[in-house]
Amino acid sequence: MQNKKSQMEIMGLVIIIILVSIGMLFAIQFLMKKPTGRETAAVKESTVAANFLNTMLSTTTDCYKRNMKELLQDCALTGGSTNCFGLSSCDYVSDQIEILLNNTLAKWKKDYYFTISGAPDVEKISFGNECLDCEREAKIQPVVVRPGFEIELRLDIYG
Amino acid sequence: MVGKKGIEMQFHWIFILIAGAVILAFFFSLVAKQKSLSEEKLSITLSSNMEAVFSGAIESKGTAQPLPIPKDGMEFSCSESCVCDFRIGNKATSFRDKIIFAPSLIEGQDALAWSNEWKLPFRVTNFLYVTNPNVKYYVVYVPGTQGERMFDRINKTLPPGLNIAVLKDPDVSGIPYEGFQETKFVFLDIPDSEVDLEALDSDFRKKQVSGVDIHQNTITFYEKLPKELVFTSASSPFVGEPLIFAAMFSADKQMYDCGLKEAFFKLNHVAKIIYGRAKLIQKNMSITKPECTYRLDDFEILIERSAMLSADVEFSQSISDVIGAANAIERENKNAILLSCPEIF
Amino acid sequence: MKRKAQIKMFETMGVLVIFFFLLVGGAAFYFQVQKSSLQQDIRKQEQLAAFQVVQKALFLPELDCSFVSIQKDNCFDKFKLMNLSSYLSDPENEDFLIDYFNIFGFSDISIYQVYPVNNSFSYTLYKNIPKDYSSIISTQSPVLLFDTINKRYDFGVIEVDVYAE
Repeated sequence: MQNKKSQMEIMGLVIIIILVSIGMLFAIQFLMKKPTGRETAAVKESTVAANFLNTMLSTTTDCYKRNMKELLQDCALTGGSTNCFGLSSCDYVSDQIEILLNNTLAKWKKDYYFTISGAPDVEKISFGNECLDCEREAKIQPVVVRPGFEIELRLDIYG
Repeated sequence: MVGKKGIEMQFHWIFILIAGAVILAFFFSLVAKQKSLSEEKLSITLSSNMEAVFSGAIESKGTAQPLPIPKDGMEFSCSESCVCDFRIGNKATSFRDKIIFAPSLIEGQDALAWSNEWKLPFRVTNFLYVTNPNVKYYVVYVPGTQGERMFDRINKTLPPGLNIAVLKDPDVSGIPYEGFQETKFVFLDIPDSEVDLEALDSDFRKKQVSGVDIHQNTITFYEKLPKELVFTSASSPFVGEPLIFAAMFSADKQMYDCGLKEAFFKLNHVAKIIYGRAKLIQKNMSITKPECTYRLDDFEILIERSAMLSADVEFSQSISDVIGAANAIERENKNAILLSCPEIF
Repeated sequence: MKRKAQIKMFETMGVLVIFFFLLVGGAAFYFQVQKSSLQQDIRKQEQLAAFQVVQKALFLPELDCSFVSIQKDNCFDKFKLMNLSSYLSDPENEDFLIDYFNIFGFSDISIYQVYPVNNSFSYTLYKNIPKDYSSIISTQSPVLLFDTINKRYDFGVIEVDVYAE
């Protein structure tokens, strides 16, 4: 009788230990969870992409004091008929965009992918490497070339 | 033997009771402490988030946006030394660099946050107005007077969603109390002698009621004494339509005066920067475009008077000097544009 | 009998000891979780504050650009920037620095031109670094720099380092 009673008590203790161990396992799993705190970082990154595109488009170049937006419009519409220091407007604006990207995103060690779509001549302008599996913040900026015809600039910033 | 066993049982139970009570007391105190910590943490998080929301709202000038309010509401106040803060629960957060005009308590329904830029003549700062439909505004003017023209102007600017009623007679004795948390009367160019808030219905006696009377360059604030239908009045200056809205949405004269001082403080800074910029432009253009010379004396007046007004808003003569200087700078700026010179601002 | 009572007492003491061990263990684990959660919240708030400093700098009327009375977003006027930077760096204008503390707090804000390449256009707008700080949150953002004499917009970058105490 007493044997059975003490056996029951030991069983009780074992059950408690098992329950505590299961509880500890859940706790460890919870602690190992990936920290969530990327919301503000995500907002910051998409602001950088948006700011970059907007700022870039309004930047004045030395080519007849036209800004990048006007040169891209010229490239899309005429295939680069404007002569900028011996280069077509397409080649010239491509070079300027590359300078900007190298002095900003590349310098800040951010991976990016910049493309333009909407017209064959501007689609040749592309920088960076696309990463399909990476977390990204993207900004798409449409630019009206003329009513009914627009091109789209897209900047993906990874990481 | 039986006696000892009986005593043993009793001691056993007493021991269980004491141990149980100690354990329960421990847990209850832990829970209570956790509850108060959680509430404090929530207040701090809410205050911090609300500050970010205010910063965002104030930068999106001209837009009105709904603002969710914590269950217990938000309080806004300014002390006599212009320490202005908003309070959520026990947590008070300073306005810091923001100029906010709001009723003393916003609760119940979601608030409306609306920002408006103040120019004199260049952009100086944005004001943020916060209110909610629990505050009833009665705008009072007499048709055919300057008050009606004032109303037409401000009505175009006021955002939708405000709880506003229009009265065309300064006699407010017939206005019933409609159960709103706060009632504000906005008189447009009504002579002070015709403003009689003490004639209001007796239901308003223990309620929150106040008034402002907008004149040419001054605003008279009417503040009710607690639990009595007796009002005190005092005046403050104003320049520009945004300050009319500031008076309308302010909890009291103190909040308005503090916001006004801060606004003139910012005007002082911005004026110094633009003045310096104008001098740099003149220096750089002296050879290439010698016709681009600017008359900049008015900047010195603007800087000096704004410094005085930021210290004390009672310098009413300074207001007309500020307006005069601002108008002169605006004219000079237009001349610069006509001459194809870089603008002053 | 005596032995039985002693055993019972030991048993009860044993239960209580194990119980309090479990309690202390549980409490320690709970407070550890709370601490890590609070640290995450603090980090989030610091990032939010840093983001706000950038936004405030971008919307300052002391720096904004206007051309033919149209205000351009995300743009600093070069001459205004030079002036404000000079005011904020002048030791005689300490009250200016104190005034802007309400806006920028403990931070280091600098703006430089990236395009056209011009190494001479680089200004520290505001610098107020505390003696002790726990972390620095760095942000870079592109901005337009308006040259009012030549009527052109250059490409610049604003770098903001916000110090958390």
